[in-house]
Amino acid sequence: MSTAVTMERFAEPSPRLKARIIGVFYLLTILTGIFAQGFVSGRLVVDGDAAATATNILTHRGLFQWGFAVYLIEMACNVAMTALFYDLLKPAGRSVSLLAAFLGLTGCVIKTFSRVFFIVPLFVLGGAPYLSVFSVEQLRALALLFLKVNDRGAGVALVFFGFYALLTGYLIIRSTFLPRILGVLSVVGGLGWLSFLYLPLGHRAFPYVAVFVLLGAAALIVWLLVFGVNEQRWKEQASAVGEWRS
Amino acid sequence: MSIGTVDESQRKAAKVAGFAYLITFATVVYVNFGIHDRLIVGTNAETARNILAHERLFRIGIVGDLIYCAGVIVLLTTLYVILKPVSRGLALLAAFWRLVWVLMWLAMTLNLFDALRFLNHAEFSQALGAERVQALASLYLGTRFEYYYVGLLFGALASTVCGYLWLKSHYIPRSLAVFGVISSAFCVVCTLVFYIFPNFDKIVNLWWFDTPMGLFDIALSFWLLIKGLRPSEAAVPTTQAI
Repeated sequence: MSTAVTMERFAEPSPRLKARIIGVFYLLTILTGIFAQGFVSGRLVVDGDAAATATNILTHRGLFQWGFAVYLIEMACNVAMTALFYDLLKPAGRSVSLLAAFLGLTGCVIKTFSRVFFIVPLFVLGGAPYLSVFSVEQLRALALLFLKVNDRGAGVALVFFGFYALLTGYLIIRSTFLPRILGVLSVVGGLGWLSFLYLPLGHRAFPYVAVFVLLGAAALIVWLLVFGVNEQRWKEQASAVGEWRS
Repeated sequence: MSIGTVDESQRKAAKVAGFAYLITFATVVYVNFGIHDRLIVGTNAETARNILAHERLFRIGIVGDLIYCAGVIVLLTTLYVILKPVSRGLALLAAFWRLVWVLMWLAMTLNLFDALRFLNHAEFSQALGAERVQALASLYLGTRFEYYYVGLLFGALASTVCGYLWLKSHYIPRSLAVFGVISSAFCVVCTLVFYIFPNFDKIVNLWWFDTPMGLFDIALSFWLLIKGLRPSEAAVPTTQAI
């Protein structure tokens, strides 16, 4: 027997609005990542040349600091996207969605941790008195070492983002409220990131994987921003698994 | 279960959150001012001498930092339990951002172990010379500053979201919640500006970045312990079939 009862609840935003907010955070994650990696790190860090890297960093100190700030904004947006996507994809599979969220969060934490090694060279090269026992060449080598650690850390994080994309893609395919093709693109992109399980392969494949992932991400972002999700179907799927009460 | 009113799990979580806030605050104050500020002072050699002469105290400081981390994990869990009925997605987001904060703190604590390893293992001094080893130890101790300010952005973002959820829920007085939102958002802005303009601390002292947010945490912890959560008037009645 079903009985109508009155209960109190806080108004939750609609699934479509949630999807659009995720789209905004996803877009910010991609744009900030491209800026910090492509226009700052890629321009200033010269692979294998400690002297040139040190000169670039000290000459463009302001840009380097901007890059650091933008890297952290990227991670804050990535964490937000991960948390909110978990909520949106829960009707397609609660446990898988939770697992995906924790894998994504692990990637974000590793990448945030790595970013400390991005900014430390500025202090190593900045003439701190407590480092005066090292020669200029040694400090430059130390700075490049830290930048390498930052790079490798980001590479390790990509493996977790790969697993995250695989599971998210699987959930999108299983869902009835997002187009399946977006899930397929996510799965293929995730497999690409898994090339970082072997770092030399990952670095070699990076340009191709990155382009494919960017295309997939662009499709998903546009869909989320323009269409959001099919609200009716989201509610039906959520009701079926007890995640939604009308 | 009614989610507009406060249920038993939220009430219990509020008490635990109040304790967790106070314990973590007391721990971090003791470790920073009672231990680190006493030992990590002066030149590389002086810092090294202090740490080696008071190694046990230094290790107690590390344990204190780990207790702080455990306390923050308790805190983020209890805040999630309390604020989940207000907005599931935002409560989870705040928990995730606070988790990044505490993991940065953990990384900062690991640096203390690294510095200690440099100083009390003779093979490093033999290979690199005492002065360089002391400088490397100072570098590790110094990078704690970077870890702190990287983590602070995420801690302040979490606190801003929680402040908004407190405001929306009416579980605590509106003025307290508004103060929470403003003080935490202020910390977010200061931290971001500080990343880009390191001399910003000459305009706004570093203490002012997070002190207002800390005051909010203390006020909130006392409120939760003494008054607890009050039933929300912000919830809207809905009809549901059971």
